[in-house]
Amino acid sequence: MKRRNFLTIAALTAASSCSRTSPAPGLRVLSGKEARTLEAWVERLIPTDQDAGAREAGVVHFIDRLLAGWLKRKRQPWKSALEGIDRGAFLAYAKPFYELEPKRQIALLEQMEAGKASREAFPDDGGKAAFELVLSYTMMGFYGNPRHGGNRDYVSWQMLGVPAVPVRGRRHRDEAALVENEKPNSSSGKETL
Amino acid sequence: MKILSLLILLVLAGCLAVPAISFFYESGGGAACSRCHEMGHQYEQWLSSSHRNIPCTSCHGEALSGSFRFHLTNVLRVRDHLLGNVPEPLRLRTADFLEMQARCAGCHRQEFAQWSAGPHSVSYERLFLNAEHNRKEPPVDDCLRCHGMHFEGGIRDLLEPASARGPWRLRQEELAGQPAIPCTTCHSMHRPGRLLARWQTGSPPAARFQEPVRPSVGLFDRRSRQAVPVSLLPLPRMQDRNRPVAISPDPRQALCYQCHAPLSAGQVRSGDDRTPTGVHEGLSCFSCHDKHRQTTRASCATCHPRLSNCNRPVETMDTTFADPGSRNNIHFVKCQDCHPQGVPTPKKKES
Ligand code: HEC
Ligand code: HEC
Ligand code: HEC
Ligand code: HEC
Ligand code: HEC
Ligand code: HEC
Ligand code: HEC
Ligand code: HEC
Repeated sequence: MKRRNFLTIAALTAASSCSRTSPAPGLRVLSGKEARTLEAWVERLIPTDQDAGAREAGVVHFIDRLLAGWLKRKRQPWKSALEGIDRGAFLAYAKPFYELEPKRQIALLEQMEAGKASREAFPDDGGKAAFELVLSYTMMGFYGNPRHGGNRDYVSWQMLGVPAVPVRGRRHRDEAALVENEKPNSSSGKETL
Repeated sequence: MKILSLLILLVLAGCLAVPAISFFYESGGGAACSRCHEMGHQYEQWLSSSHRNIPCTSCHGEALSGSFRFHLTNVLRVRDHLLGNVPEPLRLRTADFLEMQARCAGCHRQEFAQWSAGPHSVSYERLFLNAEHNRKEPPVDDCLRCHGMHFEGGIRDLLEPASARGPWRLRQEELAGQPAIPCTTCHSMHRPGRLLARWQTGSPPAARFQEPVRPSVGLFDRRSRQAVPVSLLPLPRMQDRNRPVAISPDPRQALCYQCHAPLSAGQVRSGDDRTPTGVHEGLSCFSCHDKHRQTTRASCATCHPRLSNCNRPVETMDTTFADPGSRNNIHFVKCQDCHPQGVPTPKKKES
């Protein structure tokens, strides 16, 4: 370990604070407000009904984790998207996005999808890019392998009826040949019970 | 000179500080660990688990145990945390799992003894340095799905060479004697579950207070690096040629089917399948097999001779599978196999 790292750690652990100020509890990058906005957003994209939605799948955690890692250097579009949608909500309804009723949230998202949201909120493209950004990562977080932090407890695979792990024997290489050799019933009686 | 003494001082302070900090977190009995917000989820799961009365350290290691790796891991975690580098979900490493094995054993001596005496305590060495097997079935990543699932990495990181031509050796020699199917292959701990009543009262639990399946049962899935609970493991649809085979609905069997699996067509007897057909069709693996030792003889008496027709000495009879032509293959034997001239009519009928 580099000495400087060690010193930083020693100093900071001595202060014994485990949480930094900005991110919300349980998150690494998103602030409480950002997380609430994002959760409301992904919840509208994949709502909870009789099956689990984006919220239960932990999509917000998934995105937060990426922002702390893979997307560390690409946080800006996310910040803008979350600020933009909130600004759009304020302009239209004088409330933050997460406080709007679902109908209004959907209306705003539909405008963004069509690139027709307020240019004051989304100067470049009326929200189209922001909409697509969040949609694509919501899909990944919802349908992807839980190893990446989303799809908690395999909720989306459960919904689709895809087993988390299928029953799959070994020896696939020459499976066809083996099935031929190991003809069922070849080892014992000719008739079935 | 000054710099040197300063350094020594710092190193000393560091050496003392790390266990001290570890101790600080541990003495909080779990809550303190979870103050590190990445662990909030695990803490909550633990709070509702069957091990809620067992402190984190009983499974994950002690500050005063002097395990250097434990403290090193902690230091590195703190560093990663402070630098904001925690890209993947927190997961245990290969060595964490292997170290944990002894801790499970410490509290569950009986299960440990049974597992040790059974086939599933098989070591990495036995499975991956088996020349005959390697020649026939060249080692591939998929081998690690059913044994060695806690190993992080692919077959090439484990075995050299990963091909049909030997001689083979394990890249990490210390793995040789380690179990490839440890307790944590079939049991996950951070999962909601009730306390076993018998631990509280000293008498057997009333069945109605207990889950039908122990909450921890599941398979550690190598791909997602987490356990899949048995409720999410599929029971296959099995066929004997074209005839659908009735299989027991016992959900625990789904665990056995993950490894003792048929080939993809779902034919009984294909691959490693042992689905009972014939006289025992519809029985669960657990009707006969003990859960950790996998022994079977004790089970025969629970049903025989009460339920059988022939007054056979079931507890001593030959039931081998080793000979594929065996007429007594216990999983598949049918009335016709022993009564090729036709099954006699029973003298008295059981109801
Ligand atoms: C679908 C799960 C599965 C996969 C994949 C798998 N095995 Fe196994 N393996 C088993 C089971 C189940 C047994 C026990 C079979 C029995 O005794 O009926 C076993 C047994 C073995 C044995 C002991 C055999 C003996 O004769 O004692 C070796 C060695 C072995 N496996 C190596 C491998 C290697 C190498 C691979 C990769 C090419 C592999 N296995 C892939 C499930 C699997
Ligand atoms: C009875 C043993 C046991 C106890 C007690 C226990 N753990 Fe674990 N822990 C495990 C096992 C086993 C795993 C591997 C994943 C699993 O099986 O659920 C694990 C995994 C973890 C992980 C990695 C995340 C993952 O899903 O792999 C963290 C972090 C963790 N435990 C923290 C804690 C904390 C904090 C406590 C105390 C509040 C605690 N554990 C108590 C056995 C235990
Ligand atoms: C400090 C002692 C201790 C350690 C360490 C420990 N256990 Fe337990 N375990 C218990 C106790 C006590 C119970 C019963 C809880 C109750 O009902 O009060 C239990 C219950 C269980 C059960 C049945 C309930 C369930 O959740 O399925 C399983 C299985 C189990 N333990 C497996 C493990 C494994 C695997 C490990 C190692 C990762 C482990 N235990 C570590 C003490 C321990
Ligand atoms: C091959 C899978 C497998 C392995 C490996 C395994 N177990 Fe189990 N274990 C089971 C099954 C299946 C059950 C029965 C669950 C039930 O009946 O609901 C069980 C039950 C238990 C129970 C609950 C006992 C009771 O009376 O209900 C404990 C405790 C336990 N195991 C501990 C361990 C320990 C400790 C290890 C490692 C030494 C271990 N198991 C390894 C499959 C496994
Ligand atoms: C994680 C994969 C895995 C699971 C789950 C599993 N087994 Fe196994 N089992 C194996 C392997 C691998 C071997 C071979 C060990 C050896 O040959 O040394 C084996 C061996 C056995 C054997 C002895 C085989 C022999 O040739 O003597 C029996 C019996 C058995 N298993 C029964 C079961 C039952 C019943 C279950 C369900 C509770 C089960 N197993 C679950 C992997 C598994
Ligand atoms: C009717 C009781 C019974 C049932 C049900 C049963 N087994 Fe067995 N099994 C046995 C007996 C007895 C043996 C020992 C055979 C011998 O070597 O004499 C055995 C042996 C085995 C072996 C070792 C290899 C062999 O075939 O000799 C495996 C693996 C195995 N069983 C897996 C399973 C699995 C998996 C299931 C559930 C799908 C299952 N068994 C259901 C009685 C049973
Ligand atoms: C869960 C109950 C159960 C268990 C456990 C069980 N059997 Fe059976 N077995 C049966 C039943 C029921 C039949 C009769 C099936 C019929 O009449 O169609 C049977 C039939 C048989 C038969 C055919 C001859 C006869 O008497 O009908 C043999 C042989 C046999 N069992 C051997 C064994 C052996 C060996 C074991 C122990 C490894 C065992 N069984 C465990 C329920 C069981
Ligand atoms: C493992 C071989 C085996 C299997 C499998 C088997 N039997 Fe038998 N059975 C025998 C033998 C041996 C006898 C002769 C017993 C004797 O003479 O005491 C017998 C005798 C009988 C008898 C006459 C019993 C009597 O009281 O005289 C009936 C009825 C019978 N079997 C029915 C069945 C049925 C039904 C099945 C399938 C569920 C079956 N058997 C499976 C070996 C088997």
